[in-house]
Amino acid sequence: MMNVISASSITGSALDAEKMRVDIVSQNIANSNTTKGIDGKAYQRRIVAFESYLDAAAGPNMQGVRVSEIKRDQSPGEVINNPQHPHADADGNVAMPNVNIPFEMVDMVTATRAYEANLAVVRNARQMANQALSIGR
Amino acid sequence: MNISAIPSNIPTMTAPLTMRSFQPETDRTNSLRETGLSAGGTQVAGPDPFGTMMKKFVTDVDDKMKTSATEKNKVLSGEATNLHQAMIAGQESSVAFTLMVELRNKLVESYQELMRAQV
Repeated sequence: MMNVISASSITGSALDAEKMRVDIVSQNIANSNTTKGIDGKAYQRRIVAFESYLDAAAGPNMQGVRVSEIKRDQSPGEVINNPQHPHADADGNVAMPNVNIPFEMVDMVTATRAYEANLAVVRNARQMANQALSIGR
Repeated sequence: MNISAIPSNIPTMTAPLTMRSFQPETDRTNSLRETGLSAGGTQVAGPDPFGTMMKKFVTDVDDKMKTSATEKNKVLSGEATNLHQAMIAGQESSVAFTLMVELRNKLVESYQELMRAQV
């Protein structure tokens, strides 16, 4: 199979990864008040890590990017005293998620900008191909 | 004797000339069609590297368009959420198609150029 838009699979992998990052940020923000996660404890924010891999489809020594792992942030969250809360312990303390909204917003902005940058690469690669095709005209 | 012979000779001599000078297009298209047919016949009969290459190229472009269509269908049916893959596939098929059209134009152009050559 020929490759007309250069490195489109590389950029595609980066777009996939950045989209995953935005998805995880949305999950963190959505669960910023969840005091009972699926493990029964307060929600712990997730951190996405990327890794590069050799993409044989794009060419020799071309490296794409993919999500390496999604880990929990183990740092403790805020503990507030609220005896009326359904999830309060015997002392009336509620463990809140360790999600920091401003931090998540910054993460989202960087992920969105990175996505945008990769889209610009696609746009430019297409432009290059079209310009090369217009040589004979 | 001589005067009567000349008028009878003139039409036979000038007729081919006028035919050539006033109707060159029909002659050319006829010869073009004939050579085109015979060339097509040999292409079908024997293995032709250029023909197979072009065939593979056209199949590749067709595959790209099919991939693009399936990706778009996946997004529209909600099967996949990665919009960018569908868009990139669409762009890729569009560029490949343009390349194919451009190649075809070049081939037809060079063929016509060849046929326009004075013999």
